[in-house]
Amino acid sequence: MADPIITTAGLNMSFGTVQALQDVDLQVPAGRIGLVGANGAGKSTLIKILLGMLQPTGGTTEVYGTSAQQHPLAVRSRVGYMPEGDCFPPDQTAADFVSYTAELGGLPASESRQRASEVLTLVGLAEERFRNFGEFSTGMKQRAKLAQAIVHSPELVLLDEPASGLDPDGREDMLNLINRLGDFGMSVVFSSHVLGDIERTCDWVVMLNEGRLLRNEPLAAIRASNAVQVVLLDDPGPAVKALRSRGARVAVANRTLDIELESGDPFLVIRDVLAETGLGLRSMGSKETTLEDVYLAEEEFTR
Amino acid sequence: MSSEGAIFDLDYRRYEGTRTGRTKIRWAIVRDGVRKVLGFRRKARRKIIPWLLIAAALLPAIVNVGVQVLSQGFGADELVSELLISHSDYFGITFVIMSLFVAFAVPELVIPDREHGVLTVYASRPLTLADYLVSRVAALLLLVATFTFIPQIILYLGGAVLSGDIVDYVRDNIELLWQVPLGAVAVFATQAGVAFIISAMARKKGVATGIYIAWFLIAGGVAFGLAEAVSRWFALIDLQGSAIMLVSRIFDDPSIAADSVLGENNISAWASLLVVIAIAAFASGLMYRRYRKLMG
Repeated sequence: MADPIITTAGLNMSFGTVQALQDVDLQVPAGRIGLVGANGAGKSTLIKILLGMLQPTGGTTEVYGTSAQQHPLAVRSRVGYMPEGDCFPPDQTAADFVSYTAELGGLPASESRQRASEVLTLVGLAEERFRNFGEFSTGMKQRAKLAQAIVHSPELVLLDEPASGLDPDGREDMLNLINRLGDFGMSVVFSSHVLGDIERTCDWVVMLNEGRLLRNEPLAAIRASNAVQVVLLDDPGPAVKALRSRGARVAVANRTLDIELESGDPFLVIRDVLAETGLGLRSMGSKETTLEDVYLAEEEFTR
Repeated sequence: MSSEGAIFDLDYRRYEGTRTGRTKIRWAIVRDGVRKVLGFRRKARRKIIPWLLIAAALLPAIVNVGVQVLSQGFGADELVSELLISHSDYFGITFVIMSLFVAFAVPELVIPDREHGVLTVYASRPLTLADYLVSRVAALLLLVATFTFIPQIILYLGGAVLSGDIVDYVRDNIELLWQVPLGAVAVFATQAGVAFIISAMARKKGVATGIYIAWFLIAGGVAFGLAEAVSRWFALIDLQGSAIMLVSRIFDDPSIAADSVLGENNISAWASLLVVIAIAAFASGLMYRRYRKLMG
């Protein structure tokens, strides 16, 4: 892995008796990082610790090699944050507020106004930028939240559930915008409980469940699978029996079989079994593992 | 005109210039606070209350100077030899207006940020909680100082013109250059502490303003009653009286505070100062504690 941009070691966080994070060890490279987990998995807590907004009860956190606990201001000067909840004064225009947040991020006042205008145009709010937030829809607010998160040119943007509350079109637009952030040279940590959104936008996945780290690896590695998926035309019973007698692990759902072998080429074994049983074949190919499969399997395993 | 439209995707332009430090960031928060209170870049109705109060604070000074300048024109030299309203009197005259202004300004400075989640944005930027709170208090101080200085400057210039010898007037009144700013700080300190305490607890601006005004209206009566019935030290509950007491001490003019609850109970300006400092310390601690939970 190239130099990690985020490193945590033995990270623990508890709120009273609730353990929000438990011994989280992370090394995350630059790029588009998906932070996945169910509600309450610890995603927002992890993001706030990365920003130095929360002090962990144990362990260390570094962002770009700087301790988020000891030097939070140095970290925040390189990071943008899009919170999950509302963060706008209803009586202020988007242009004024985003310009102000650029100044809060360390940009000169003269530059802030220009950049606010550019960034609001980028997120699709060019026409609406002189309207008050009180008149904004949920989708417009989400776009404006993204604008304030990137207006000061951060190197890393932390997005906490950016697509929540959006209709399908709005979600699509938001995911496209997040994809583009990577093209602008920004790293993105994108927190979501919608696994499909993460699959569409991210190249690295950090998976949390009840405060524990389940996975921390490239999306491609998670999706890679040795399993072969076969769909039969007939009752799969004889084929399952023959496959298992050859040492294969077989999961059955109706006439669909997911087959894994410890060693050897599964395609050859399946060919032999089909020839032996005389069953009809509808389709056969490598099984594509989704994040949902992995998440459910990991969740099952940790129970 | 071309029949073909074109969409120009400007993309994202990274900012590569130098970044400002925390001093400029704090100053941005102060400017934002001043704009909020005065209603700049807000709808017209948001400007009504602050500007009416500012006009009301200016009016006595303008009328005073104006009447005297006109009187001079009619040859009433004895009437116009000096100002009808002194600089120290002016603090007393505008005190109620100043209190209403503080009652309106402090909730505006702190409550919307808290109730609309804006604190999260501050918490994600390179500034500390103390930067935020100090900048908000500084915005109020700047407003109160301006509120105080402008009519005092009008009086000063009026007095200088009426005296007939500007150089002599400035020399004779040189102490005003420290008395007026110190008086403004005294008024700010006595008013701001309670206003920030109320605004730290209230969820709505109107409620905070209402509570402050109610306290302003009853504190004098409560202080008077308790001072009569229990102990003279209860006169210190009347913080407005403390402000007047401090101004009277700064201008070395006991007559201003003679009729106040504190004056009648022989409470010294030093006792008032201690109470004001204690309330300011309590308000600071309360704000810091409350906001640390919200901003981390």
